[in-house]
Amino acid sequence: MKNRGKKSQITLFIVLGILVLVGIISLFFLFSKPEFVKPTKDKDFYNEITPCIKKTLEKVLPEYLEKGFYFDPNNKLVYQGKDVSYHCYTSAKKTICTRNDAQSKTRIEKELKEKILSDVENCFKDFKNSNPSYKIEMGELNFSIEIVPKRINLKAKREIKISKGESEQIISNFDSYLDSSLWDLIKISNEILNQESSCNCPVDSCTADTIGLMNKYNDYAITFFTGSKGDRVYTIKDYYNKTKLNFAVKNCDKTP
Amino acid sequence: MRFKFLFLVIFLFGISFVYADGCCFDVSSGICSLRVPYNSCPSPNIWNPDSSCNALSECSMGCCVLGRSVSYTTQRNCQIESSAKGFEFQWQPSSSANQCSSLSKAQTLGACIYDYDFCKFTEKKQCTPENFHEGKLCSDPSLKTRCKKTEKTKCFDDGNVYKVDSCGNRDELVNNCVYSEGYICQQKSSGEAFCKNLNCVDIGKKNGESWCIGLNGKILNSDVREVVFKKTNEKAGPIKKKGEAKDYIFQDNVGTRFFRQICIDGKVVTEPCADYRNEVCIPNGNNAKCVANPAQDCFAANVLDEETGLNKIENCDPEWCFVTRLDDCLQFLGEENIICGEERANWRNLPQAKAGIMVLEVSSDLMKELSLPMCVPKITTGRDLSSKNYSAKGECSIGDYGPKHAWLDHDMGSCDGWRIKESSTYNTIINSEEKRWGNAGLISLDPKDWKRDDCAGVGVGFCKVPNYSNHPLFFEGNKWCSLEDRFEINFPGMKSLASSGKIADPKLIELLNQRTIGLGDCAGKLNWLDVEGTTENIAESIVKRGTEGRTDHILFKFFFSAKDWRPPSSGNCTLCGADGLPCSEYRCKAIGKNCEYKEPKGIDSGVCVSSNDLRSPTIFHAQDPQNPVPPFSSVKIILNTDEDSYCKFDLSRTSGKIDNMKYETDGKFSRTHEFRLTMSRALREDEDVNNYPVLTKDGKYEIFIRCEDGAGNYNVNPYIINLEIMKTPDQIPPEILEFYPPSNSFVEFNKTTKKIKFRLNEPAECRWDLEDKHYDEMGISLNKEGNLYNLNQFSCDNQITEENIAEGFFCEGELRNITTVIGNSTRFYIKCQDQPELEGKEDQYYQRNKNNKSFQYVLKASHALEIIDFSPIEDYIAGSSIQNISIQLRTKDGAERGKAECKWRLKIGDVLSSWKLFNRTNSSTHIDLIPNPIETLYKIDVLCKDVAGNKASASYNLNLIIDRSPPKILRAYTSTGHLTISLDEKANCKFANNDGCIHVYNNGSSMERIKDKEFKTSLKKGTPYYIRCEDLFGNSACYPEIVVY
Repeated sequence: MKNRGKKSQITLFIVLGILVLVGIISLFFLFSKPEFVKPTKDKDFYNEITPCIKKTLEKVLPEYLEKGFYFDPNNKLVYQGKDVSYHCYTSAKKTICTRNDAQSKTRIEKELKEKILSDVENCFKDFKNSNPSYKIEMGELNFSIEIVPKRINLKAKREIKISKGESEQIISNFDSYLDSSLWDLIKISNEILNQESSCNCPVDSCTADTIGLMNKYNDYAITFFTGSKGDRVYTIKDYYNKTKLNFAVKNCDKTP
Repeated sequence: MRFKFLFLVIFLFGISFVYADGCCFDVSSGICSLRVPYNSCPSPNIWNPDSSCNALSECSMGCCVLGRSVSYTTQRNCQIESSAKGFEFQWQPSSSANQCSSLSKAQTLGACIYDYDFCKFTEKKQCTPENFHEGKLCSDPSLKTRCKKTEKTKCFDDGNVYKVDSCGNRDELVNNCVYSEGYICQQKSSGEAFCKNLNCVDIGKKNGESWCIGLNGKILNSDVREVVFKKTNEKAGPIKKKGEAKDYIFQDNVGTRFFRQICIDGKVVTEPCADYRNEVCIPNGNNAKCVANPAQDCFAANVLDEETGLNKIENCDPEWCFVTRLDDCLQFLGEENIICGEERANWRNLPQAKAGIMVLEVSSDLMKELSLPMCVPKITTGRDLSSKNYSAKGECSIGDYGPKHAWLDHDMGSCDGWRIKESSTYNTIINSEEKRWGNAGLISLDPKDWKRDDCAGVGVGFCKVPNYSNHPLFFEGNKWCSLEDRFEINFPGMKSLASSGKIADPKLIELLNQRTIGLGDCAGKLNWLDVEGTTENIAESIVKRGTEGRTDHILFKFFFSAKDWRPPSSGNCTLCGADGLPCSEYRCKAIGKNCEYKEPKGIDSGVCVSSNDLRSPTIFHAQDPQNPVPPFSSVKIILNTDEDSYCKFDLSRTSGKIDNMKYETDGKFSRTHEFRLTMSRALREDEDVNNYPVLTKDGKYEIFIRCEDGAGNYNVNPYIINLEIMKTPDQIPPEILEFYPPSNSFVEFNKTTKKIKFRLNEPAECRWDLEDKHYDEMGISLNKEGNLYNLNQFSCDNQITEENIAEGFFCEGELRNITTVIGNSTRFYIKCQDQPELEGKEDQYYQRNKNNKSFQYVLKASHALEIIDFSPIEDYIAGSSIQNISIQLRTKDGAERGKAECKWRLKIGDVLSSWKLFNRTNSSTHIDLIPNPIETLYKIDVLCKDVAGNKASASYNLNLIIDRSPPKILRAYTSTGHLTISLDEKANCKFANNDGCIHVYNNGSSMERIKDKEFKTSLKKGTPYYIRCEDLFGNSACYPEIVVY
């Protein structure tokens, strides 16, 4: 009898212990607001949105690079049938060109962001429209782009409450990234322009040492085309993903 | 007031700050940009007015260690890159990128085991010492990790191909992709990487290798500046022929340009050096460079010496410039050679001069007086050849010569006249005391240029010639002027003093011309200004009394002017760029004054067109059938233009630009353009126009045409073709206009099916059958359930769109049951039914039309394509001078008796080249060359395909062995009075009995060949035999003497 009582007591404590544990866990889930809720098995909401965001950037990036880090360049020439922006320009003969803010990483990030922001917004709208069986409430979109070595980070923060019947989940982080050589392209183009703008004009040729740069940056093919009027277009091409940056220079023009 | 002034100062300072160029440090990337204005460097970036960035500490450069590689960059950039790539931040300041290479050190790598059997292949310092297994791979069985070997490959940070273990770690090295050899690692798929060959295999150039294209459009193998001088020196000699110097020194380079070509990613890229020869391409091994042409510095070296009035040359840079001279040569006493050009300029450094040997001036005294030497560029720069820039007194005028005076002395000889004496006495004039007047090089020193005075004529003398200004000298005989015009009739001495131009020393004129061309895009012109005097009194002017009152001189005035070179009035403008090198404004305008340069698609798309043409082409047209055309008839439209042009059309009105037009007529640049439109129909009354946006109720349609000529002129107002379609119901069955592939084509060997496509004149539904049946019965079969079904239905366009009207309506499908019996063919019957939109809506007027007669389509069986022969294969022996290997492949059978298109690729080790079509293919024999072969084992893959789609492939081994060894004597023996030798390879042998080996080859006697490798000669006992043999590749040896007793 004594033994039976002890055993019952132990069982009671175990049951109570389990109840307390369950209670604590329940309270934890009840009061903590998850930053990211793993999607339900049948729906991966995160992966419905981020590929769309990446595509918006992928879609505009080739044109942006072929035009030389501008979507609508002010000072430009035409090369291979497309507008290409000048990154260093002088209209005076035999003088060194002056650069613009083409290589400013902050400017590029800002311009890319502004270009795709409405499309990113549409990604969320499309997501909502394509899931009519869910109740979707969206907060403010906070979107930015960051260029880092080897990739472009797409930072999208937006609190989205997705509910269906009893279940509800909140997702607020839609960060993703795109493999990209944009960082290197900024760096290499800057080196080319530093060489162009530091040349001893008109004594020396101001064409950058593209072969030397290719030996330094083995992943890129760097070529140039000098036009009739002394304009020069540099092309930097990534051997791997064929990304191509064009930019123009009018420097130390010695044409008669 | 003081505040205002202060404000103004601050304002001006601010303005100058905003617009001044400086150095911009981008905080977010750590890169520094030179020559950036303040307002292009927004905060938080840091700007400094020192454009060179030296004053900005953030821009100090240093060596940044990123794993195994080291880059030369700023501290901030290094921080960001180290962090992003997962490396420890290691940066140290350095003044030169060269110092960084010493920091590049090999990492100590190995397997790092953790959590019992997890493993990571990493750097030693990333792992605890007790867990680190230096040099070992995670898949090493001795480590007993969970990571196993796989066959997957991947590119790793060092740029090489490695296998990947099951944990994703770097495993064994598969391939070393050496960038300097033209290889980079590339990921083909997630589990497959390879070394991509970036080299231009077909021309034997490595990736990044560059070379120069010279002014003649051909590859420049040596420094163009040296070529000029080598040739000049080679040609230097005591007597220069006319034009010799011109060919080698003063090339007429108007309209030429240097280019650099570079092999990039398997392709040749042309990089033009600056136009107008402002840059010169200088080859330097495998790295050509466009460098600035300092031509103007050469001219700056010419300084007028005010004391002597002569040209004094100072600092004529011998690298880029040279001094023009003619016969300005030296000769050391007792030597035959004449020293000219550059050597002559530095003659004091020559050993003969140092040895004190007397020097003779070979140049004539005449030339010394001319102050003609001039420092000119070896490669001139070009001028703007636009007609608006032509000027008589342009920059070329520094090549002017004159006016100079020439005095012809009066000879007081027996004939009492003016004369030039012959031979030895001839020079007395030149060397007379009157020399001080200077003959200015005018007078030809060659007596042949003068007609001898024979003192025989009567009434011979000078005569007056009206308009003499065009006739420099008018000393003519009695033939050319009447007695009234004769002057000094009593001068009997001169029959004829000279004829126009001849009197000038041709060498002088040549030099002046050359020097003019050497100024760059200049042309010389010899102007005679006649004798001094006035037009009122020619007589007086001829017998010039001279400034000192002398009566025995004639004064000639001479002026040579150098003018801007002008293009010919008309040229073939299309030649610009015809050499495959980019056309440019300068290249274009040098062709002719009529040539105009345009860049329709940008700076790289320059075209040269005739500017005489400012008019757009005039367009006419013809059509068949005429209006009104039956519904869905194929209307043939022929456009004729009055000049070659390129035409486009639209079915609806567009903007005024031809570029915006949607459809090409035939894509040709010609005067006739033919194209077909499958015009549709008019809308029926019951049809809603909104459902058929391209159809009209009245059946009237407009075709808008624009044509553009070579000069870019096109008709802004479109030429309109009005087409009208009958409003009657369509009663004509559909028509198949074209099959793809055409009927009677071959089918792949042993294949019984083929997908085909055809174009119709209207939307329709089509079927096929092996028998000629009614449309409704075609292809009908019963299925298992006993229901009828149709397997032989084509899939067809059934919408009327603008594209269909312009290009036709298409059907496609698969034909089955094609015979495989060679020599046999299968005939298919195809019928169609039009107006699918009427299905279920047919009435007594509007009914669908079916073909009564079938369209027949035939397919033929073909043989398999076979590769029957490839050569050379296996061991291929060649000499060390081999330039290329000719490869040949033969194919047989297939659809067209072996005719096929074949390509090949090479594999050396594990490296594969890309596929290349045989240079000669599309036949049964395919030939190409492997350029610059190396001694190695080549694996050659070949792949052929014929018109039926039959494919054949094969791989061959070709082991190139370079024979560098001379033939060996395997055996030497005597037999029947002969000495016989047997060699190990084919060769030719000679022998001699004396003088040892040295003379055998040249003076030895040939040995008699018995077989390919055996030779004999008659034997003299006791006599030594020196034998020398040479194999087919030029390897030879002389063997130890053989003496038979």
